[in-house]
Amino acid sequence: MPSRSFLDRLARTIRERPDDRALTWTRGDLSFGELADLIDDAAAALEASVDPGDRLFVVGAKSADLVALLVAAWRNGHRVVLPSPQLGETTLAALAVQSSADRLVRLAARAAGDIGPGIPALRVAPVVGATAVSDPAAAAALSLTTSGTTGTPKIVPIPSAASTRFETWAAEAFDLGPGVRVLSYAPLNFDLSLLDVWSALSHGAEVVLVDPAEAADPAVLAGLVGGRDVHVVQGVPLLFRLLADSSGSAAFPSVRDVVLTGDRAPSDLAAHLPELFPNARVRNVYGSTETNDSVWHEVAHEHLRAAEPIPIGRPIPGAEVRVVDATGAVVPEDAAGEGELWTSTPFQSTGYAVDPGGPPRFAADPAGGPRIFFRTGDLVRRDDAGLLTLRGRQDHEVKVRGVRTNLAEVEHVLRDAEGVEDAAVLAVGDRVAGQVLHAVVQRRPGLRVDGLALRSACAQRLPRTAIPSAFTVTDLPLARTATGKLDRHAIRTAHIEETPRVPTA
Amino acid sequence: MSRLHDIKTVIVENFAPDVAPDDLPDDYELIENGVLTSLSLVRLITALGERFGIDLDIADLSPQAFRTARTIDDFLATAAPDPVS
Repeated sequence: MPSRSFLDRLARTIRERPDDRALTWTRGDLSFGELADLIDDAAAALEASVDPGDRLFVVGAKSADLVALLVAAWRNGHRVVLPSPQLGETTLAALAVQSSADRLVRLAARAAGDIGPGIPALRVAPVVGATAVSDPAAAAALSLTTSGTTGTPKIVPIPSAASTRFETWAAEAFDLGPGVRVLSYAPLNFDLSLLDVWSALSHGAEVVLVDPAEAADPAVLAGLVGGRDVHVVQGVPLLFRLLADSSGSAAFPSVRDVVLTGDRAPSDLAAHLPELFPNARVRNVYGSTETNDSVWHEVAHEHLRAAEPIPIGRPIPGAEVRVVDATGAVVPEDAAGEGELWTSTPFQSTGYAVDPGGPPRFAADPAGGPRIFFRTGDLVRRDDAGLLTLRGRQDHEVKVRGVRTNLAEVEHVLRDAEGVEDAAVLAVGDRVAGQVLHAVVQRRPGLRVDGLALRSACAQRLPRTAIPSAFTVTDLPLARTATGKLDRHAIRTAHIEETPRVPTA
Repeated sequence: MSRLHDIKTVIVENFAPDVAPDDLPDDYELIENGVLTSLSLVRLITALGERFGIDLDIADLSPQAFRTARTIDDFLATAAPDPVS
């Protein structure tokens, strides 16, 4: 994390515990002393290629080198924008301009077998066309980009004071310190890295970096978590699914904290967690790039085994939430109800670097308080006990024959059905009905999936309008984004041929 | 081929192409399970009329008759005692 306090803490750890391991990654392990050398090398490379005060747009694969380069950039006083390196060239170029960066810095990947001490070459190019926009990020040393599946990612500046507050909270909440090993599964440009990389490192914990090239390999993941005796595992359901697949009946007894995040964990996966992590406290944590961790819930092992929906719980200390119903009214704090989740946290951004248009996502407290809230677009239900449960995305609500239907709910029911590995439900145009639902179902290897049984499973738990009209069964994994969310656009392209709309009348 | 089988074929071809006609049980609840909807009934009636060469008057039909493949078969037995097939 790029605040002064982050740099001071890291410097102190380097001074006091130079021989402790800082990073584990595929190209060998680094002690804090070796990391310091890599940072110095990167700092020198930056001094040679960019001007003081330049805002840097940094593109590079997740690696110890990228970690060192980012620390070096912050130490040299640069503000950094960190996009996903997976983005296409055109999008990267457009984002660099939008972010009003001065220089685009590309970090080369190491050649195979290169475990030498120096930082790989930097390729630096000026960003042409960047304009000085009114910049809420002026004081933000780090800007992340959102991971939306559609459209250009949005640039989210993380104010330094917000980073510092997050770092302090995360270290305490997950007991990060010397001797603690933390798995870093997410890409570095995700907000999850503020916990599992930056908070961990600055507090002297060891970060076990998962190489993105190996992130889908169950055996590699199990080798890192089990073989390295990892204590803290934070990840999207996909990570836990891979770990469950890898192990058969093996368990990871070293893990003492499991952080479920990013998406709703399917009930059958949740039920598997107690045997996979017999000694772990399991917490379901809800957050967004814009506000970071916001709401959380510790889930008892009995609850996980019961395969009931897992609540996201209550606001973390210092955070507040509002549940805003379809009429725009705030559901009273002590009442049960449903609506869009608005969050306000001590860690939040002050707003996007470039206004994405549309209704403002950062808005005044709908209950009249002084704080700024972020409209998450997620639908939640609050029960009588005050526990929040995620119901899906607001933009995944469609109307089928006039009835409001939540696609995520239908997917959830299908995923729990027999023989189903994964499911996506999409709304497709229909000449008669306007819109109908089309389900794409990935079956478990070797299992038969009966379309009639799937319809009956939906009928038992959903209104009739939510039963898909069409089912496609596939053996191929459904496309997912890097965070493990369904890539609906790719799934639509791959599996659904829309009937061409014949002009009537 | 029995009339019941033909009915099932019409149903799956039009409303559940992921299902084989033989896999559709006689008593599977078509409306309750979302295979048929109020909107698709009209299309089913047309398709059945074409398949069996009979003229079904939509106004006379109760959705109850379309609950399952068997109830449709019973209904057609009344509407068209001599199936053309």
